[in-house]
Amino acid sequence: MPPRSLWPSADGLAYESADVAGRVLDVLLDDRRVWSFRDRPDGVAPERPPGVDEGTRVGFEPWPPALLPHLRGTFRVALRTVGEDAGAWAEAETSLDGDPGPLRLADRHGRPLVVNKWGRLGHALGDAGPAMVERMLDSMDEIRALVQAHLGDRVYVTGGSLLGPVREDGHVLPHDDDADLAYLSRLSVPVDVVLEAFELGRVLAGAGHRVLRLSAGHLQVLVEHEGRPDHYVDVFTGFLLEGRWFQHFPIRTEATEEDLLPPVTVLVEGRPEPAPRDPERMLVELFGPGWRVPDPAYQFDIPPETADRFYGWFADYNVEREGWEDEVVLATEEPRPARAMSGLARALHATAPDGAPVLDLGCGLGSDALALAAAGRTVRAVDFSRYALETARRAAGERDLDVAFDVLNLLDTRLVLRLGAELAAGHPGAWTVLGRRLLNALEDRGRDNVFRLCGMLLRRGGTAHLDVVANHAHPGIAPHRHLRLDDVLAEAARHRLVADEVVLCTEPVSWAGAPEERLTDLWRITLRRRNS
Amino acid sequence: MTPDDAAPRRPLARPAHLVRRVLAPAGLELAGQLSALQQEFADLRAADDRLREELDEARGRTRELEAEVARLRGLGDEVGALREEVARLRDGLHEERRLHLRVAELTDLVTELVLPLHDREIDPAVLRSLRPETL
Repeated sequence: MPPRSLWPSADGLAYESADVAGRVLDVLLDDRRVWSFRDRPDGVAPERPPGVDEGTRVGFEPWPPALLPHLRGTFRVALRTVGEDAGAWAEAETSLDGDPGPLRLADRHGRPLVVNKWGRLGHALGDAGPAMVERMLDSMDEIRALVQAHLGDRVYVTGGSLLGPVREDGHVLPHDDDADLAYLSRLSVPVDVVLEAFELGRVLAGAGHRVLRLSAGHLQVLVEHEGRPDHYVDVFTGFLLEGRWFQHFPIRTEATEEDLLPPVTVLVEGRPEPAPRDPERMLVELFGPGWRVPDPAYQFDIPPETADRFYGWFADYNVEREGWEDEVVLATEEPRPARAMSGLARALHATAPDGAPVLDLGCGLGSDALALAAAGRTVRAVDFSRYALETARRAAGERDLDVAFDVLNLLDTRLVLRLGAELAAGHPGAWTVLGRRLLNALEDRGRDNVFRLCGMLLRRGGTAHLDVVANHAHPGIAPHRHLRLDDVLAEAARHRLVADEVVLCTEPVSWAGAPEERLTDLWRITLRRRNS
Repeated sequence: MTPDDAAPRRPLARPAHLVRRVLAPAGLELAGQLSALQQEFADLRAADDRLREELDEARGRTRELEAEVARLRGLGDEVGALREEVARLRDGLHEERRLHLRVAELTDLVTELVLPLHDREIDPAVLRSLRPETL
């Protein structure tokens, strides 16, 4: 393909597109692929590049929103057509912020970042190198063996770990970021399938793996190497129900067990791995009939009737966790918890009885937990982000403060009830609960669990201090996460919680993905349990 | 009138004839106009009859359309009610699916946390007081 022109701007990339209509293009920054997109006929540049005649077709692709804040410094940007070995056909050098220094597109561990198929920043196997791929496949084999031992010969590679080897002559996909396993349960009623998946999680954790539950049908095993995050292996649940095959999360189609089992063998980087009996059928179900054509920009288009079923049966234990964790993981420097107590924590500290232990729900980096501990309070703090808690624990050590920080996902009812029982047994007296910026970050199941936990802990007295953003125009909070005060109080009332006090106040509020603080109206709510 | 009256008529005959001659063309013209007007009147009456028929027909059609509008309004209300019902059913279905997870979570909790009694001090008398059957 002849060299073409490319015009980067603060908005995105304008490019001569006559030869690439409808094609998938890789975007390389400083000679490294960072993301891919499909040329679209409606991709029109906001302004036509100067000196380009009207007869020249100019395409346009905006910068991915997740990437834009990281594009600091001067860098070369190039376009390459996916599937051709001809190299880049359009190149330009640019600096969006005028900084002459080099672009540094890496996390704080130095791992190069890309934009993944979900539009979020992540990592790519192609950047990690063959040694990491070997480690990842070692982990996958170990986990596969555990699943096989528990469920039988009903596990196989899936997703990119199937697509790459089948299409790319036995190799993993360079733009992929993990290893994927799936299994076909013998059970068919969703409640039984979920119970089996819970047990499988315990089996993997019992074998020493660090297991993260992303949904009732999706486990993620996280593996570190030399003290930093290295790779992860996904395990997806599948089952047959009334003649249909449900494979979390995109597949719902007519099939029988004989269509899927027994597994056949495919080679993954030279390793024999089990694949579903008809690998190509699974690839069609996963990636559509065009799976043979490389498309790093591929995005799942799951019909609502499929997504609704999986969301109902398996829920989503990972809602917004990645967005909050990115605030820590993708920061160029490790964020530090503030030393000052927040307004809500100050209000709690001023009214809670001396000696009443505090439970900080959704503590994040632990700023309030640490400040309350420094003020003499006994504090237990939980959050669903292990990365945020690692930072909080380090700060507690540096400040010589004794705060118990634990990972806890408020979307997992089992963990919430267990925590309630544990805390009530450990300190039967009055607890004080702090939940700052919490309720707007949770879907209804999570809020229900928060109020259930408060109901358990406030049985012997004490108060819960929560806030709700009153200004529904706050840009960081998704519209469906905004709450009406009356609805919140009604949800709390279902757990015998009544409002002692509701105060409208104004505070600076930032949010995941909207780090700039804005003065925002909030309702501060103080709840107690009604025991009559 | 007496026979003698004929005498005075003669002197009037000529003027009368002259008058008739003068007026005859106008009379003929008026007769023609009258005929045309009569024809026009007949045509108008026919048109009026047609218009009345069309009006009657339009009135009938209007009544039909009004009935159709009322029927469609009823259907619209029915569709609106069905939409609300579908939304309610969808919510109910989602809740029904979520019950699978809730039952699984609670069952898991009970079997893993509540029921493992081996490490607890259990008062057998308390256990005996729990009636496993309702009959």
